[in-house]
Amino acid sequence: MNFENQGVIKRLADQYGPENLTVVLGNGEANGVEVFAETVTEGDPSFAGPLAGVALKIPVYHMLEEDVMGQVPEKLREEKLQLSALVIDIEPMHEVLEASRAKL
Amino acid sequence: MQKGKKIIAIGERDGVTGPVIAECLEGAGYEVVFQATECFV
Amino acid sequence: MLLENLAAKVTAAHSLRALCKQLDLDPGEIDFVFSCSEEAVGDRYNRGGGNLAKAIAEDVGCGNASGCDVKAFCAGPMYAMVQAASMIQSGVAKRVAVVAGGSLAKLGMKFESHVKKGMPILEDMLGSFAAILSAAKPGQVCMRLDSAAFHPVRAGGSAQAMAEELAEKPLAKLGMKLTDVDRYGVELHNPEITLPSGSGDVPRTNYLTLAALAVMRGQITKNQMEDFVRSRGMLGYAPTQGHIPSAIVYLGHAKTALECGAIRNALLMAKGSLFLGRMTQLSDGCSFLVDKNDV
Repeated sequence: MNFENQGVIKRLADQYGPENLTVVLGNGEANGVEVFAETVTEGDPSFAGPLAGVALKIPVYHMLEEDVMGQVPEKLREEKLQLSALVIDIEPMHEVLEASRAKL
Repeated sequence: MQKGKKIIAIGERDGVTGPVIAECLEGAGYEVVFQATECFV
Repeated sequence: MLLENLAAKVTAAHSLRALCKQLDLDPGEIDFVFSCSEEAVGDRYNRGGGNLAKAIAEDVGCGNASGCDVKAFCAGPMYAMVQAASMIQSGVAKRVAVVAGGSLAKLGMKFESHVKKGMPILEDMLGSFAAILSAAKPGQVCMRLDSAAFHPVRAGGSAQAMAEELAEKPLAKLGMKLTDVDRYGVELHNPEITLPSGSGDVPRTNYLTLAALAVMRGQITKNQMEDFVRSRGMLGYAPTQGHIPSAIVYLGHAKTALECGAIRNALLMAKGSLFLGRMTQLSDGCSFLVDKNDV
């Protein structure tokens, strides 16, 4: 996750408390999702960004996980997410993120 | 996903972008406190 | 920074020089040079002042040319092509070169991920290109200026909006469907480089997006998506140099395929992540169709 966004997340965690936050991702494929999840739960695994060594333990979801997408009103979901739902294979990402949430 | 939490939307340019995540979750009744779109290349 | 600018200049000049030699063309025959490199020429008081194009023209010996730079993140090359073609179409110039040099800054951009996996630093290559445009004679491969498409401000940056503005709409203007394009040239980053660093398979995602749009429009079925990707797409092969992989890298191959009749047309589409520059949250893009001038 780019350093600027890590910095903002850190600032927001200080402001609102990490227990009041949830991260929702929009990655196009599973490749890289695990690193994103780890960054906001255990800390930046590259140890280079603002979240290096900072374990925020914020739960991470993907926009297309049923639990998330299902909460979006149908019309909005059709208009905004239909194409992404065809492109993105959510299963492998769901597995990775479920595992990440289970560890919290 | 627990209702009532504040949302940080990190989108991807070729996936679901930040503004789209924000719009969808605001439509679902969440407060989005930050949205960004990353580009991996 | 000077080294970055020099790297861009030298690699672009190399490409243009090589192209002139390949075409047996005297560089003096070139009227104008556009450079669409990713660099910022100028020091503290004139950062981004630019016109690397003229420095490149000088280096290659284009004594009769001037030039200027086109800057649009990774969509730069495509914009430069449209501008070059427009100058020719309108009679302002006869023979225009479009060049881009490599991005030194992007070498080893994600080296940690590769090294961590016991791989060598895969981002080890500068990329550059040169194209020379002139009025297309009958039967020659040509850029269709009537297909040139941009991504307007109001469209929003979703992947769907990009595909609509850069593919669906310009094709519809020509009475074509998404399935009437034989080959799409998208962002052709080599997945062997991008997958280990967690950046995904960029071409594949782009092709799937086009296929998904075709499904939504009833042009193909959901289980024809993979076939669409395979027959109208291609594996990425360009180094992760930003602007270089962004469609333009396919142009030469498209020309060859068109000339031998392997394809009837190709749509090149590039995107620019303007939001990275922090001046806007918008995305951007530019596309055009190439085919044979059968007029």
